[in-house]
Amino acid sequence: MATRRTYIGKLNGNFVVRTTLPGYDAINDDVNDPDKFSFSSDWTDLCKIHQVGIAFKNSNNGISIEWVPFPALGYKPYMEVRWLSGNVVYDDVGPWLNVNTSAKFATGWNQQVLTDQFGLESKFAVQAGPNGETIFFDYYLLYVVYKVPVASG
Amino acid sequence: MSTRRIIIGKRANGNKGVFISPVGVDAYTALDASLVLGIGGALSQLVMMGRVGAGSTVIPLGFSHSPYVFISNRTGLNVSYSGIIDGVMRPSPSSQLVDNGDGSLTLFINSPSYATVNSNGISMTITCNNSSTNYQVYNRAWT
Repeated sequence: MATRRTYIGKLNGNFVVRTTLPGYDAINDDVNDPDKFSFSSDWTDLCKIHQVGIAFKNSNNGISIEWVPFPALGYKPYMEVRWLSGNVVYDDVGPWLNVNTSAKFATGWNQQVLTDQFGLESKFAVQAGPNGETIFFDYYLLYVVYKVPVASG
Repeated sequence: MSTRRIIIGKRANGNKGVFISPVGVDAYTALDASLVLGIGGALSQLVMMGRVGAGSTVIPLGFSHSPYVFISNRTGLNVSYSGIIDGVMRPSPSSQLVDNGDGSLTLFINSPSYATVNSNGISMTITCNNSSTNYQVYNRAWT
């Protein structure tokens, strides 16, 4: 018998909506197994996405913060950001170059997150030597703002 | 009256679709933000997640666009009281100071892992320079 991959109706006295991954039955399989179910209306811990996008920091603006707005949440949300360079997504490596070796340095990110926007801070390096010049870098970030509050001051 | 937890059709605000509320919340009248699932609420969907080991791994995606991809290196950290702990570190990749034996120290920074999106989303190649790398793929496009 083919498996029932979608079920909408009454089950054990409650109305439910369930969808399963291929090969699993929406009525009889374990609804709490994430390897079997793609959705259940009984789940209460789904993580909602508030906004996703690509943010750009323009080096021409020198030492500054560029703000990326999102609809106000009333709390500071949990975020994920990653450095994007062309079609390559990095983990946590910033565009911070050693001007002598051109090696990429791990800087982490220092983003300011408010209840309705987050800010991209400048990334720069100073050339070695007495006449060292400060070099600013353009960079792009992939970001996701989740509807999850973060306890913060 | 019991609460209406699933609405398929028109809600009180006039929106039409599939709407599901948590226990105790009326799906017919609740604000969008209070719903577990709303047809107008989702901006993206997590479609794939997993972990790859060291080296280069090609993961088929089958998209015709570049999706949002987030990766996190996992690095083994040698902790004296409990051995090597493997986990996500920030900032990443990890770095270590090595005693040169002559009074000087050398800072080594491990190579980062990264994901290359191939052919506008047909697949992605994760280059993992650490013990392993976690990845998440969303269906939202950025090309």
